[in-house]
Amino acid sequence: MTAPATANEYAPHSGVKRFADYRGDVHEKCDVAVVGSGPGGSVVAQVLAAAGHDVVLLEEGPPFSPQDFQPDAALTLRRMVREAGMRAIRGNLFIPTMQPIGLGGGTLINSAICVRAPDFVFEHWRETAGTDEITGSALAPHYDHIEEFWGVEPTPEAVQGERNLSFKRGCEALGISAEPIRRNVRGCLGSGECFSGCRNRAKQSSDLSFIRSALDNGARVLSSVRVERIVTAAGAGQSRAQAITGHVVRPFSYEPSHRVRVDAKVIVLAAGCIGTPLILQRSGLANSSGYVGRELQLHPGLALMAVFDHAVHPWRGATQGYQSLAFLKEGIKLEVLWAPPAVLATRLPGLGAEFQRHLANYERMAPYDVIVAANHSRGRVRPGLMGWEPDIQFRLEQPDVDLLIRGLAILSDIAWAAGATEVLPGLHGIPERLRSKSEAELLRTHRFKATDTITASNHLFGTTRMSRRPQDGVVDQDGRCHDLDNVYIADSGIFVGSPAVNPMLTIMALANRIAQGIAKRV
Amino acid sequence: MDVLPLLPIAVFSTLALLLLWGLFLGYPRKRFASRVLTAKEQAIVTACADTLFPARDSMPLTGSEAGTVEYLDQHLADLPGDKRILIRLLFILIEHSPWIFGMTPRFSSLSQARRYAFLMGMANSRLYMRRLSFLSLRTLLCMAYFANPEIAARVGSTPNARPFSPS
Repeated sequence: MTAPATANEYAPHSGVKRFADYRGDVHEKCDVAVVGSGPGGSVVAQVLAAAGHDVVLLEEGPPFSPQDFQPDAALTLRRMVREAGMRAIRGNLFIPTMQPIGLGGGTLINSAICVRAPDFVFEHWRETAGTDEITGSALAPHYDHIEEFWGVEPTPEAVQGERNLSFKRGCEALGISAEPIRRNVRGCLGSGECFSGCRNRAKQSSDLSFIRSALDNGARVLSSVRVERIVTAAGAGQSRAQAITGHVVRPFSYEPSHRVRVDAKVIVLAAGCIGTPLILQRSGLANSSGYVGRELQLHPGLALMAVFDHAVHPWRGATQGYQSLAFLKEGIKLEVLWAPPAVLATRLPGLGAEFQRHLANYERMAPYDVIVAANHSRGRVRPGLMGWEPDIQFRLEQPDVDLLIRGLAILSDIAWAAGATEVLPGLHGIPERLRSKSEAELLRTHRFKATDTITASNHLFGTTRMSRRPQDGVVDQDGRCHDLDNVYIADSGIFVGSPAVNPMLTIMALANRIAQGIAKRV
Repeated sequence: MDVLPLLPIAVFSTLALLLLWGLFLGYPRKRFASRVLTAKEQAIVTACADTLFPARDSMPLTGSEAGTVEYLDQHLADLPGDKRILIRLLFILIEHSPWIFGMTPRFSSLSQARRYAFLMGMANSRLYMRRLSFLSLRTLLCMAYFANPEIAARVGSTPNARPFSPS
């Protein structure tokens, strides 16, 4: 089965229950309740609905359509990102993290990057948590299925734009392997607007593909529902869940209204590596190992601006069209970056006339970014003191800061090799403008602390990790909670460690494997 | 009559009046009927916006002329209450932290040159939290500034869903 050829051939959200559709308290019964409609939950819902199971998919955010997508950074953050885009991880520095909220979850406003995790990742997972069934070859058919269903293809040259092509040129000049990024996009027009939602509907976010297919196979999709707790069966101890409870919530303000209860034979949590442990912690479940909410890991990211002597028009071209995986074994992934111009402009140096001079030169700039597998750093998530927002803590350790800076130095090399005349490193403690390759050697000689960087991260994982033995993690290798017979987790929380690359495709491959296992058992 | 016992009262009253003036009084009237921003906050945001974005050849509109204050008022009105409080605290921090960092008047009362120096001090501060405060301010103001179509056009970043199609 493949996803529909174009999203415009049908109304993709018909059948999705929206906030205005709820007239009173909601009580549903089903075979499988799936919590969260991002990459993991949407795949689970699709697979199980296609297998003939009665599925209810619950999503806290509303559905979004092209008319909702506006290239206004503040508007996008307020409407489509949790905590209005102001969610930050705290620790030895503040790390902003964009956690989308809406039907389709992260697939709605990410840049559609689909990269398979390399085999060494799963070897590392096995060494850490004994997950010997999770190997590259075991996941290969699941990766294949997702890529085929979604139409994953390399970004075409015609929509790369000079921003991406400059990176390609620089890598070629240095002999660093690089390639067009494979993405879940059909007919990309190179608008560079992935982060505010694709107005061209070229990006195949999961609401257009997997969720649409689930609906076509009879799944019920309830948007604007916040799942708050899992209820266990009376008299059955805590080894079996009976239902999930929560509230209908008003879009954007998230004020609760009607109560919701969904009784299910199986519950699949896919609320993301922040949302899922919060549900378990509030329910007081699945934590005999003590690992729920612990072992938070992330991919910290840094960006620099390469400034050229010719127009780059960075706003033209695929949001992230080129990457280098040449340094993956070191834990470094290099990419071209784009985001709403206003957001990236905050990284330009100076203020007043100097800042405006940089704005005038904005069309000659190309941002590149590095993300790293921060294997030395850990954090945790737990419910916040007030409201439903989490308290997320993370400590970025010095070896991982050093790795980030090494990645930034390589990006700087690529920029100079591509013909940059200046590099804006965005770091405290060195000049704001590096005017020559030799001056840029400061990136290799200066010692930077975590707080010298402006680090961001949107790839979070590990808070309900998978393990062979119950004492080493929260779920088994089938995604089932060690402590609960009928509760599964299918999001990045089950990762044992960094996937070394963007996590979406691995979340989906694991979700596909987990869903197939559930289909056999239910 | 012995006036000595009255001296502490007089000193305290004077300080209280100065504090009252410094914190709440002496601000210009509201520039527009805002949904959230008080007259004081409007003055602070205007001062910040015009320091970050003064008019020059390439960008003919100052921050306030580009509508940043009105935009941020709308933005704040649409934010959840707890986030709105954080941003309003940021404005208060910027307005009154010149007291801490050696410039006696509040930020919005400083000359343009001293405002520039103060914000540059924040941007390059050795204190991480001070740099972070500046970055937060600049993020908010940049989003507001770029929302002005004339500014986006001047920069060249006018949104275009089909940039490679013949116009």
